[in-house]
Amino acid sequence: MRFAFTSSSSGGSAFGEIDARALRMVLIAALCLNGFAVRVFEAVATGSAPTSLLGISPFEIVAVAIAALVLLEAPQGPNVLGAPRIDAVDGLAGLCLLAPSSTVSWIALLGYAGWRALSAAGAERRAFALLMAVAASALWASHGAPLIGSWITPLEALAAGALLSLVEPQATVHGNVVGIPDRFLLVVMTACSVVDAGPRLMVATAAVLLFIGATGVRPVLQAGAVALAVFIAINITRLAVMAHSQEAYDLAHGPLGASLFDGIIVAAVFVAAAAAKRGRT
Amino acid sequence: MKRTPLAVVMVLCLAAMGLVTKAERYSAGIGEPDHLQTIIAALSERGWRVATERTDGALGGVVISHAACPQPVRVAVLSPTHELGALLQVVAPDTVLIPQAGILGGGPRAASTEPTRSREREMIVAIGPAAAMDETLCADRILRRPN
Repeated sequence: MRFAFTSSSSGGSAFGEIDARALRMVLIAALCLNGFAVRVFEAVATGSAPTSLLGISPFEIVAVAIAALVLLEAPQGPNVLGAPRIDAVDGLAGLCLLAPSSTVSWIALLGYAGWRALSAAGAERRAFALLMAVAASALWASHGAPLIGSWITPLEALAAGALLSLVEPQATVHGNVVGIPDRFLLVVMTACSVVDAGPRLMVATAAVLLFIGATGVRPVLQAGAVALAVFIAINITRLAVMAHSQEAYDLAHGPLGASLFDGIIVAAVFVAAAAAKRGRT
Repeated sequence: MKRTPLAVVMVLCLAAMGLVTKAERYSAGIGEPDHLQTIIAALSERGWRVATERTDGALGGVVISHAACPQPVRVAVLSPTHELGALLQVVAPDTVLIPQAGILGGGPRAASTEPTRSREREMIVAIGPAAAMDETLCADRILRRPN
């Protein structure tokens, strides 16, 4: 299903199509930017910006960058992104930018990409679907994850406590608080949980698969499962290290620990995606 | 042919205006220094001394100490519905402190995409080695659960 590419204003010229493509790319970028905005404000306000990539997950950066690359590399000419007619959907998405809420921006991106995906085909359609997934995972992290985080974080604290007890037998776990009494206690937050990062991880894995040319649900599930397992293992280990002492917390939670953690997980995503493409997983 | 570049500029303007509206709403909900001072003053009236200030990513807040309490207690501002607040109400009911405006740290709210909607929903709780693990708390001497 495709649009009829006729426009009285541009006449469907190549120049007009390129400009319409630029317009929609700017619109998508603006929706993402406004979606990330509040997290960036919080990261700057709390001083965690240097260690948290301005509050933006590396998985989201990977997924958005790959979606943009795929859209930019989609064949020029009569496609959805380059359709010369600027319609009400473009206008509505643009107006949503004005809302003082990042949630509205994500919902707008979800709807905009979903609507465009219906009319697109091939790589362009998959890129729009990827943008939908980015928006959905962001909405999940802010509104869905907190609902079940209180059930999952105690389990993660329990696992971290079990790991910590291997080297510190006096380690205790109370709910989502793990640590060593009279020395240091760590509260496992939803933001530190797989509940928060898991969906983003899966989206990033799908993005990498799209980038390397693998399509289909099976490679995504295979690579996603491997990446998720690696994430859970590394995250529990990191939580156990952070719960050991104030010094260990500062190390694991600081720039070095955060960069190492993100690097390992991103590498795991790429390796799992490459292996899934080759059918080795 | 010139309409589309103009539209691009319009989208850029909308994006910038959107960022401004979000920044304004966010800054209206975030704790200003006077809120922090209010909290510190409230604690000081109850005999607590602010030892250090910190806004680390895990809890955020202020580390305070009390002459009657051998261990420092970290104060964080949380939503009553947050898991930490809920946990504290179970393991140490008296450590839930006073409702207060403002936000001291970003950790508990790091995943949020929404600015603070209602300051009435914010609440201060105390947590630390004693506060979290021992019901014979120091924290319960100073601040009580509001009625």
